Amino acid sequence: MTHWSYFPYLLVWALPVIIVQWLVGGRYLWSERNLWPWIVLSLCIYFSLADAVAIRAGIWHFDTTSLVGLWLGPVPIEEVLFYLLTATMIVQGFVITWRSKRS
Amino acid sequence: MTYADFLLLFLVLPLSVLVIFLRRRLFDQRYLVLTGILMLVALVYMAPWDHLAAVWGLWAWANSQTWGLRWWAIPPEEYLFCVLEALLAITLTYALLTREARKGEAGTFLSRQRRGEAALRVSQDEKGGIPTQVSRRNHLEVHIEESEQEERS
Repeated sequence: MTHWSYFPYLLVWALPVIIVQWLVGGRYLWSERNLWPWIVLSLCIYFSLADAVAIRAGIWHFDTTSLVGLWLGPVPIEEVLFYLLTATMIVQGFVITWRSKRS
Repeated sequence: MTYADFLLLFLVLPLSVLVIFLRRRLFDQRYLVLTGILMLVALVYMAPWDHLAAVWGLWAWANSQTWGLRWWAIPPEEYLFCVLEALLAITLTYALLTREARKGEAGTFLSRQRRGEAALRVSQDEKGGIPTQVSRRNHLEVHIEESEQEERS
C-alpha cells in the first residue's frame, strides 16, 4: 500500500496551522517573542528525551522505510520535529487566545 | 514500562508539580475555559491524522505495553498523551505569561518597595485576625499613589 512518509505527512498537517496562527495573531506572538520560543524549545527537548525512553522501552516503534533516516540516538528526527511543531501549535494557540482580549 | 507508566512519569508527574506551584492561580476562569477549548481542538485535530498514520503503519504500539484497546487504530493512551501534552504546554505557558504580567504591573522601584512594605504589614496584622484600619489605609494609599503615577505617565 503506497502512502506518505512521516516527514511530509507531518509538515502538511502542522504548517498550515502555524501559518494561520501567525496571520491571525502575529502581533501577539511578536510581542511575546522573548517568552514562548523558549517554552517551545524546552518542551521539544523534554519530549524528545521522553520519546527516547518510550522507544527504548518498546512502547512504540516506526516503519523505518518511511523515515528520512536521521536519528538522535533512538529518536528519529521526525519525532523531534513532531514535538517542536505540536508544542508550537499549542503554545502559540494559547498565547494568541490569552492575549487577544487582554491588551 | 507500559504506555500508562510513561504517561504517569513524563506527563502526570510534571503536571502535578505545576499544579502545586500554581495552586490558586489555577482558579482563573479564563485560563480554565481556554485550556478546555484548546485541549479539545488538539484532540480533534490529532485523532484523524494519527489514525491514518497508524493505518498506513508509519508507527505502531506494542500490544503488551498498552491496555490493548483501539479507538480507531489508536490506543486510548495516545489520546491521553495528546490531551496531557496540551495541558502541560498550556499550563507552563500560563505560569510564565502571568508571572511576566505581574512583573510588568509592578511599576517603579519605589512603588514596588512601598507595596511590599504595605503587604508585609497587612499579612502581619492579619495573622491576628481582622486587618487593622492602619494597615488597610496604608494599602489603599499605595494603590492611590500608583494610579496617580499611571495617570501622569
